[in-house]
Amino acid sequence: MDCRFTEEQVLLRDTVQKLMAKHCPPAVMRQIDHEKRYPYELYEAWVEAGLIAMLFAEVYGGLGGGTVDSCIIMEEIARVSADLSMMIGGSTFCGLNIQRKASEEQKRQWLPKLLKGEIKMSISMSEPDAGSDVGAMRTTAVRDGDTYVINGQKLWATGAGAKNNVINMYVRTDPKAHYRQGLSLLLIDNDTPGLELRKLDMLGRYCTGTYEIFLKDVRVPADRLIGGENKGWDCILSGLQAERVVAAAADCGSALGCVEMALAYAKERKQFGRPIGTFQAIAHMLADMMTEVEAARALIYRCASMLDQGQDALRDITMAKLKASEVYAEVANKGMQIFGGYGYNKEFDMERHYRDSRVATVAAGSSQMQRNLIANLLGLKAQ
Amino acid sequence: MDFGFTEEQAMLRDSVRKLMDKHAPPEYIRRLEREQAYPYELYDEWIKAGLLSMPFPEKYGGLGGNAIDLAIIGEEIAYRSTDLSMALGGSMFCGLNLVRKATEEQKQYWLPKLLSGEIRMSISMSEPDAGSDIGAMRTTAVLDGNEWVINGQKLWATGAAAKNNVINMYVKTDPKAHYRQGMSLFLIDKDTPGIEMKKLDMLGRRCTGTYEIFLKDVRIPADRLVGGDAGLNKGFDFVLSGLQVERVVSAAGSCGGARAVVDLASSYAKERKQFGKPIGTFQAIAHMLADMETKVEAARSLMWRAAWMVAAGQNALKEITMAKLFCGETYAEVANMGMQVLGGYGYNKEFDMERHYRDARVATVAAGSSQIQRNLIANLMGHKVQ
Repeated sequence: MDCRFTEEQVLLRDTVQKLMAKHCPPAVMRQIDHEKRYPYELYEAWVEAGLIAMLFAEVYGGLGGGTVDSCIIMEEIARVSADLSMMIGGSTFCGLNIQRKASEEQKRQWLPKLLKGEIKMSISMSEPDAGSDVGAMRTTAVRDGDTYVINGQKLWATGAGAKNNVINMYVRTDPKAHYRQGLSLLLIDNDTPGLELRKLDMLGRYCTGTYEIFLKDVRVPADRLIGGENKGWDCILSGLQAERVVAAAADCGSALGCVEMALAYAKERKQFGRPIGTFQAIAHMLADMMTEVEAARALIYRCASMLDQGQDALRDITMAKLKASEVYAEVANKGMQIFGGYGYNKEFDMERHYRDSRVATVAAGSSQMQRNLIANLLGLKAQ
Repeated sequence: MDFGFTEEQAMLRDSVRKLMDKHAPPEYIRRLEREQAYPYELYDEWIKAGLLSMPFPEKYGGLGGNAIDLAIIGEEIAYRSTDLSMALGGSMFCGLNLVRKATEEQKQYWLPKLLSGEIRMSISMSEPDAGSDIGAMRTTAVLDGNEWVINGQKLWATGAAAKNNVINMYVKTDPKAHYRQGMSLFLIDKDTPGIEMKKLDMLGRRCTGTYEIFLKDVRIPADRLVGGDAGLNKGFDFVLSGLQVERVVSAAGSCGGARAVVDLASSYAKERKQFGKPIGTFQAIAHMLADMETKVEAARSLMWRAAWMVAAGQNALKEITMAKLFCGETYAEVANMGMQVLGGYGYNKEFDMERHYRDARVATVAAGSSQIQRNLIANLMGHKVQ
């Protein structure tokens, strides 16, 4: 059992770190957060550096990397900003889901464009009445000759509004089918006629943005249906797994960035003649924070390693997502305490972590849903 | 041992509730939040209803109430918004500190103006390098003839720039004195020449506002030194005395905010259905709500006991400190849990939970951080904390 990164993995990590330091130093990050602006130039830099191509099969233009590589990339980007990590995250897990579930023809049609940065991808599942209860979704897609006609409303669609974004949207293709049956996955260009986007005013994650989507007689070619009509639940499950690995790795990275920020402050800020980090209360708080982050990282990397070896890792993915998201929210909360008044001030970066972190335990499956799943996998039928 | 309100106390609570229902409905609060606007019209209503006068001695135009009345008013206003409660809170605890520490002449001059609403009051202690370590403050006041000349910089001054505000500012009057000695309290009109204020961009509490204050050769009359000659360099005593009242107000405010969070989360959990049932029927959510409710009631019990002791003239330093610690932590904690209960809607600014999440977080930092409160409690227990 070797818990260390390989030489290539260390190189990958350093490459991403350097790229982020170059294209998105703290002052730049602060600015784009204040402007609530999607940093397209950064996405292009990621594409150029092969960070999206990294994880895909060479036959589609990828670099054949694995889950551990994807976690390294997500961690280093998220270390700077959880918000930014969602930009690459969406393309990554949506693309990986397509690689798993689409037909060969569809993979050859969509994946090269994604890897080259010609298109981006984002996911859309939730609706006003369908959050944790994904099966309660009501947006419909009706077959009409060679097209599907989509009507309905989606909510909380992260990154849906980016230029050249293709929304991976789950819709109901058989309204008569029971609940989770009758769902399908459709790829919809975000500028398709009939599709209206509204950027929502949220507490955080401003740059990638969170959108409401209104669909009125939106027509998409039938060949944009992925994974088989009414087989969407399989795609959802597979898609959620990919999303959760990516989210967990990102949460670990952001949590680490947050702890590093708090630690640096505690070394610099002096009160009563000494750095505040030398007071046991603060010192122990930081010790706990770092321990929690490392525990979360251990979980996700073990899980990533299992996936790379082709093992079933559903329980590990779920635990990793639960733990990493809870840890990020927790260390951001403690980080606010360490920063005191400066934590509450928007000229410093801690409040951005406080805002960006809080949705980590809600999005990509709330902590309560993760716990349900873990309990089920433990053999308990949780009511 | 009677835990209930008297009839008058219940009436006070009800009348504050009615006032807030009428003059500060949710739409008003949300609009002010969007505009980051100070609640001038609401403050006027508080004055008209005698809320500010309530805890002050009749001798100065007050209604002769006590710390319990203070807590009732603070809690009910903060139930709607802890941000807005600070607008009244500043005037209340600054004014009550003057009752304790000012000269008779100063009380006769300042308190009627405050209680009539002609002026407001706010506090200014912190500086860039003096947070928990207030003794490290460096803004100076030097006597020049019949005036004090003030130079320096203050930070985190809540409500400082409101119209007609008089800043209760602690400065160093004897830079050679050791550390906490050599501080004094001055009353400074916020638009005195030489004062420059910058509204800070903060995570929350944006209506009352948080300010940076730059003072360059600001001249104020000698009679603005609180306590007169006897008050010179006695600032630290004033700080301690002032903090007790400030912390009762702060604790009551945190309780009000915390109660609002639980009510909001609980009603959402009844309405929001997933998997065919209200989410509050799932044990995980139900137990979260039960814990939130229990914490809030525990916080309120601590706060009321402290307020009662202060009203009874007892030494309540430890109880107030525990109340401030526990109530502030509780507000931040339940707001955090409330965000989880509301899921995606919690993260959306069209709902009120995220405002609580933002407004609550500073409750464990302002008016003495939780770490400082713990130091003090441990000290009062007989431990010399490093």
